[in-house]
Amino acid sequence: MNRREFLKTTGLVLAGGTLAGAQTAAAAHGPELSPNTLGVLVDTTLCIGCRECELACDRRNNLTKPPAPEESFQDKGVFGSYRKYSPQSYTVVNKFDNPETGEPVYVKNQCMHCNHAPCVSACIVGALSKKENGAVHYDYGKCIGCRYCMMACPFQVPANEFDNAFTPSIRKCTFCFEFVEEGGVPACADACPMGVMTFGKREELIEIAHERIMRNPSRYVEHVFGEHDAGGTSWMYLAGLPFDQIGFPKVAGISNAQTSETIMHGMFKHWIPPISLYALVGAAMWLFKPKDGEDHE
Amino acid sequence: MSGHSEARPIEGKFFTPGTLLLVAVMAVGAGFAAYRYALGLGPASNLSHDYPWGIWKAINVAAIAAIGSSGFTLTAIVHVAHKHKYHVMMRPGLVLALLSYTFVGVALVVDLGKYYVIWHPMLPSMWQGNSALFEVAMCVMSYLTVLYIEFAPILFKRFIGKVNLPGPLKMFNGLLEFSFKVGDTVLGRLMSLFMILGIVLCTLHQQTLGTIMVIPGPEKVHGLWWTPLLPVLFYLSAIAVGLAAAVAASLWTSKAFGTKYEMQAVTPFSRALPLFIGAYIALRVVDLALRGNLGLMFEGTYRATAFQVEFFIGVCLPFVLTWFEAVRKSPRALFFASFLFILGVSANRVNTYITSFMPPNAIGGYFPTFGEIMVCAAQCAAILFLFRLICFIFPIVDQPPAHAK
Repeated sequence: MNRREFLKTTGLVLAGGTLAGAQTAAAAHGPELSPNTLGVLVDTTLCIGCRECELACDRRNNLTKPPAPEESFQDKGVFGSYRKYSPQSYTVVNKFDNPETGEPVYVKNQCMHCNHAPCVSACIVGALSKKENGAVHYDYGKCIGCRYCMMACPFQVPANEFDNAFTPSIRKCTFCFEFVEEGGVPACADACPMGVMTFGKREELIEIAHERIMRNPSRYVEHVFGEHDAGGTSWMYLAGLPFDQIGFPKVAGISNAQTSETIMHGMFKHWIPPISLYALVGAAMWLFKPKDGEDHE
Repeated sequence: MSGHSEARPIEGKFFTPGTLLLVAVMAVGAGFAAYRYALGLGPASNLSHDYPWGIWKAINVAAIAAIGSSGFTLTAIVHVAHKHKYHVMMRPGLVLALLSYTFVGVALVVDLGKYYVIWHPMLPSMWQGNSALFEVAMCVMSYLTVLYIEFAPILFKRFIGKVNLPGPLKMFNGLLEFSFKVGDTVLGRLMSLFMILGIVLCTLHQQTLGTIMVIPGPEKVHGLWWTPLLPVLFYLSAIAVGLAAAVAASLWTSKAFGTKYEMQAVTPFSRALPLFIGAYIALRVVDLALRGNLGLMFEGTYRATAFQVEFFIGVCLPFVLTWFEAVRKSPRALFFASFLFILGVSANRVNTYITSFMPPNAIGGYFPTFGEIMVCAAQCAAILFLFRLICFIFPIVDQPPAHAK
């Protein structure tokens, strides 16, 4: 075998490997979801912006320290500017204006608890995980503070305690994981006086959502945000305005974790690509060795 | 030519005005790093909820790791393809890689929120095979080990027959001498295995450094940079910039230590530069065209400008320059072209990780604080300073026989 033949063979083997990788592309579906996985349907058309959910969330998760007075959660002045998540606020209500009627539209947001969550896929140590009940759960003990989850999240949800020099934690909505595990209801859904949030099995919520749209097509846009968006989320939304007009980011119909995992799994498929590469480089080293046997150092 | 020249430690004055400047930059950077440790990432940087990654990730990890490609590209050329005429470039390139990757680790210790548990990815209970960052962590760690193993023979060569511990430690002289000899023999037999391993590890993690930015998706990463081909583009540019860094390292050592330029090796070596840069340019343009994103570079935003600077000045210009033999024969022009390309690829890493980032409903933007810039500069200064120090202690730079001086 001379060099040219070797290079030709190498090229063919590498091309074959790439094709094999491409064919396994469909493999990265993400975690299998239990049919009993839970979720919340948020009907934004019912929300009046009272911020009771923010208060309930704050109290259950001990977010503001010392606890902010209840009156501070009744302040409507906060709607003047768009508010984001922070280590002290897992859920935020923002106000938008209906461009036609001029009426206010209130939208309550929190972690969407994606089915195939990019943050879970990205996390370097598995500190984030998708639980059977639907929650995307964070484990402070594992976290090393790399903040890749913040880069990965399509909704820019995870917040980091940047001002904590020694024990910075990622903070985000927990789906009230422990309470839900014991049959409870997320604090925000429990506190809402308007019944904006319906808590239940995700599959049933999807049916309820479509039923509401069907019964009242003038009230809703024909889109259950989160049914398929970003690959599907545990929290889903109904709205009277297109979602891009009420602060929802543009997301794909699949989770971006799928693209990333396809690449990662292709590169390491059964360890064949790295081992083949090792063998190829080794073979090249041996083949290219000068024939006179003199390996001048 | 000077067939009798061999690598020897540099002799003479270690501290020059330039070296003192490096020390000053390192001291200022260390001060800001201390500030970060005392008060946290928030006060010390402009990182925010929307922009969680800054230059400590983009430059100190991604760009420096790319420059460290000088190690595996040279190993492939000198030890796999057996092009021994380039061996004179091997050691400076290896030292550059060794220091670059060491400081990738240092950078993470500065950037991670919980730097004191940086070892977590090593624990099997926390392995996360889906994570691009996990793959990078494991490969970089393994490759750093390989780099130190590849460096070990230089250490052995320096000290075998010269082991002379001070004072009461003298009794260990014989033992140390013996273990160096055993180490040298054993490693001599096994070195090929480690060299191949190093090439494989670099092939994996240089790609994955690109894969890292796949998961934020085209919604959060601007179309001039986001593509599922990011791993291939990162790997191609890493090879090209590794070659450029090898050229720059050789020319810089010759200039800094007043030895002759190794143009008999550097000029033919740099013929590979336009080939690899050209392949990278071609793939980049084809990918942008196929995705219908070529026009984005003219949209007149700061991102489009950043792309133009990165691509036309940092990548295309070095490609054109290194195409000319006159440039490849001139130490000055070739150093300029290689260095420009190093800056171009670094700009690509910064743009891919930071400039391109478009978080939804973002408030404000990101520009590094003076402290962030100084910590970044200090790490670069430390690489140069330690490079010089290693050249003074170990046989790195080829010099004519001592009596010829």
